[in-house]
Amino acid sequence: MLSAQRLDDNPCRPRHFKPPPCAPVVADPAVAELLEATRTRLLLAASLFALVFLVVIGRLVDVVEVAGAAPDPHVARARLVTPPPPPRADIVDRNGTLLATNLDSPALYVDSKEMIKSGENPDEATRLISTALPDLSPADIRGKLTSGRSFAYLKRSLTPRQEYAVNNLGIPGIQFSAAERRVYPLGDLAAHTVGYCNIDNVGEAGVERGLNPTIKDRGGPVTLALDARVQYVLKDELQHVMDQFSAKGAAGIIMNVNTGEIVAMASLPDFDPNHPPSTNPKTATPEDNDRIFNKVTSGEYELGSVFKIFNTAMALDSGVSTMTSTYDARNPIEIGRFTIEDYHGKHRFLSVPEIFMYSSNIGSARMAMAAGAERQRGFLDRLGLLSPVPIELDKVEVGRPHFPKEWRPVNVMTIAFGHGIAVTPLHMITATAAIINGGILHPPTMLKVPDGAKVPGVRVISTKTSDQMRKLFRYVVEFGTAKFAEAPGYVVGGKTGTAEKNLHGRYEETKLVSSFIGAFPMNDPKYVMLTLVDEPKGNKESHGYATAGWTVAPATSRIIERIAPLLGVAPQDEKSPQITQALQIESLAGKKIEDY
Amino acid sequence: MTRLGGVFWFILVIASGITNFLVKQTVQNLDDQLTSVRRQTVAEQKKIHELTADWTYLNQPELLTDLNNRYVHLSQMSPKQAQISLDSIPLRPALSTPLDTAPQVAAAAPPPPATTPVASPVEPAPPARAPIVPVSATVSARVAAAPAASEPPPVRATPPAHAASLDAVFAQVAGDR
Repeated sequence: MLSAQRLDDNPCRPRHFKPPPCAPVVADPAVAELLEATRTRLLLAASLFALVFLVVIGRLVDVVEVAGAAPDPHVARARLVTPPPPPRADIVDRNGTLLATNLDSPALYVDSKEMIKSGENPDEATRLISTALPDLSPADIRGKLTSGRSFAYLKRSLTPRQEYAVNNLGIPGIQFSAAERRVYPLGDLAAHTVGYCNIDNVGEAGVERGLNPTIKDRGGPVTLALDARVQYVLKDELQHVMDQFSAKGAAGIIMNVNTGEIVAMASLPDFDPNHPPSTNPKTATPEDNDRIFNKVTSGEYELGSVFKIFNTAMALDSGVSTMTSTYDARNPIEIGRFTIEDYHGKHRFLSVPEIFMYSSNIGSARMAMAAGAERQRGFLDRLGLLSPVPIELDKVEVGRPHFPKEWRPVNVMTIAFGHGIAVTPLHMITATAAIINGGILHPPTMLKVPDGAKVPGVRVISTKTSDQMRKLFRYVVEFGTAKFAEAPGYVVGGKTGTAEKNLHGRYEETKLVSSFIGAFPMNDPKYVMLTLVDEPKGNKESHGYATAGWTVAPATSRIIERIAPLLGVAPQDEKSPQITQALQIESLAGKKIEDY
Repeated sequence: MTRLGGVFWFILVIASGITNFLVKQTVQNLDDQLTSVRRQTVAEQKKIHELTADWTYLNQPELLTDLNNRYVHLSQMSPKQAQISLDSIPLRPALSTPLDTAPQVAAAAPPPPATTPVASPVEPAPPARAPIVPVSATVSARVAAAPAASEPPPVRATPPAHAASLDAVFAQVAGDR
């Protein structure tokens, strides 16, 4: 343009006149230089653009042809940072062993519209699916694939392995819907403690029901006081007793006397919480109900002689009796239509330790009469034996004690040896723990008590009475009705109880509930255990006996030998002077003690 | 002067553009990496969770008891075995070699325990130890005998009562519901 203006130097030239085209005449070398520079710049810019386009082309080729198959991380830049919290927290035992957890178990469904649209051959797809899920019938699969509906479940609750296998088939129209399922990896081991959930993940029994809100809201696992290993030993031995004596059922519970923690709890027969028996009243069989029923917390039993623990503690603590008091046990007591007799009568005056050791009903009844109804009732109430036990279970699973409304003399006498009052084994063990732990009643708990945590408790008897009761417990095992409960090294003590079942208002001589409360080591009790067997039948090894001394006492010995090392209770020498002195009853010292 | 200024600004614009691009690209890459690592972590956590459940299932005490009875034959610890406390284990008696004559060693080492562990109050009478020895003897004899006879370990004919994994449980549950 510059040169054109230069040429057009005649101002009088008509406006429409243009000189014919010709080579530019550049007169000025400076202008030539400028033109040259401009061209170079244009070239530079063009090559720059060309380079950029080349890069773009190269990248396009790279993306489409070379790296096209690789997943592109840019596609879904979703901020998936933490997994969603599970709908229910895990339940673990005191050592962290998993008792209940949620696992992904997606359901598999088919959108047959999409499948048909994709042109997938249904026969081929059926073949592939049935190789991945052999338990489905091919005809059924094919029917669903070709139904034309957009939703049909092929299978629910897939395992992770199955999910992987199906995913690998890559069949269009086959989809998963996310779902979680409650799984109990240890199966029936702690069925009654842990409980189970229904299909909507709502707790139906055990801790799952009792602590339902906590389990739902808690992020971390819920730690139970239960020890899976101890639980196994308890269950194993109870099952053994049940088989040995052809019993209808058995129950057992082990508690830490100083914290109230329930370390093990078993009720047989039990069930697998992964597929619990039916609870529908229409379809449930009596066996189903029996398996679901928790004998420890819901079963109310007239437990018989084990109640002498409380009778004796009451008499000693209130000062009505001392360790040297004696009571007339020469003749049976006739009261109303009842006759109170001794199973193994000694037919003489018995001292308090002897009444306990030989489990004298007559002596216990006389002791209770000396104390009186008011005191007896008050004492049992203080021990929590007249109201439901506070525990982390739903109230439908916590038994309510049965006891007479009116506390008449005959009731006082029978309650002294555990008849005419029905309580749950959980009541029994909670109260017994208080009797031997120094006199403090701790509420029982299913949850682990952290180390050093303060445990709530109320004093129910004096330390002195508790001390005396420990000695009595030890004497029962050393000389009395429970010699088979001895476990060398663990200084076991306890009390047997064999009660006749009250069916339709009559006590049946052949239908027994044999129970044993044992604790160890008696010089400083750590754990207390109750074992109970329902309707045992005597056999050859037990010489026909089905009493507690022959059934559950030996089982207690075996259980203690197996669990003490697990619970960190070191064996001691029972003959050592410290222990014999600590557990010596002065009034019996040096005397020859009759055999039971 | 204007020309120099233009060049300066031009370079500055280019440089800042490049820097901006590079930084943004790096951040984006890191972001992607982070997301993918997080996703992996979640997947791993899930896997660990599943494996924990599987492991617990395989560690059912009942199953372990069965396996023990079939292969290892470990027996229960008796109270006698647990009765030995640290105090009842004697220090090694002083050697009767020339070393013993060195005065420092003799002084440092406690005198050979005149009271053997048997005399400790916790320890039971000496015969109580006897059962321990035969037990270990039979165990070692059994272990030694097995390879010599080149027999496979005794396997009970009955198949294990448990399925190999949680699959069985799932299958049962799925059947129930």
